[in-house]
Amino acid sequence: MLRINCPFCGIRDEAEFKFGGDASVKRPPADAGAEAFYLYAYERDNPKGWYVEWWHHVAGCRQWLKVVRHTVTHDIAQVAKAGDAVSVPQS
Amino acid sequence: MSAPERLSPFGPEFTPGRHGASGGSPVTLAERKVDIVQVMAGRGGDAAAASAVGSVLPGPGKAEIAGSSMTVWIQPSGWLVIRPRAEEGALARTLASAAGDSVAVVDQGHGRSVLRLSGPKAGDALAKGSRVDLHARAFPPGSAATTSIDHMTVTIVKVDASTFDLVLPGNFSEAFVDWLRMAAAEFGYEIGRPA
Repeated sequence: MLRINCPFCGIRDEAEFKFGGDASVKRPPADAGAEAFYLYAYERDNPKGWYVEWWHHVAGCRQWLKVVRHTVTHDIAQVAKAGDAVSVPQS
Repeated sequence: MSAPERLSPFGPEFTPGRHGASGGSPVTLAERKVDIVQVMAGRGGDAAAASAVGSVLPGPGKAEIAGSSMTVWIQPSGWLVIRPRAEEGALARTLASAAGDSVAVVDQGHGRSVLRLSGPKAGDALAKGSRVDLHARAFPPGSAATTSIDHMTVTIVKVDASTFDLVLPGNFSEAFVDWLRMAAAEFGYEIGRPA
């Protein structure tokens, strides 16, 4: 069970949140072509290490949050509001 | 033509009486007859919302309580305004016209319900399903938290040392009370009259 420190509500259990996938994906420009949109829609990295992901605090303040989580240790380095930049640890 | 009499969302079995263990100090459950309006301010609309509501708008995790009225923070720039029940829809109309276009005002009178839980064991009963720490040190009067209890999204408001108001999704009211009856059975509980 993760404990996610929501910037609005404080530390809450993972069960209040819904996972929303990779938060580092950027939508390509409209004229980028089918291949770029295929990659945007379907292709995801599966890193061993730090990962920036969306979590929706659906049973709390209903805000989308960016969580920097380590996929091996489940450590959480940062939880940010949707519009904020995050820094990813190097190790 | 007058509107038909309003039915309680807590259903026909939520009738006044004593249940569960006897003796001690029972937990009291009662429906609150209130109007509930959701106020959502757009960018830069917080001041207009505050002036329409007519009180300080509480910040995250807080509720502003004055007698039987309260304003509860539910999300950034979003609040529930709860007032004693008056004419159907009047509170939402008043707030909407006072707040103007930068604030979305939605009447939740038929969408949500409010249950008042009181007694020295009220917090103990609620804590059986709450993921939020309800101890007095962590959750003093004037605190508010939206969380999930028995898979239902509930907004918990601490009114005073032994009183909680629970804002429930209206059509989950009966299901929530089913859970609460089990949680409160060991202390005994009394269903009070709607007030």
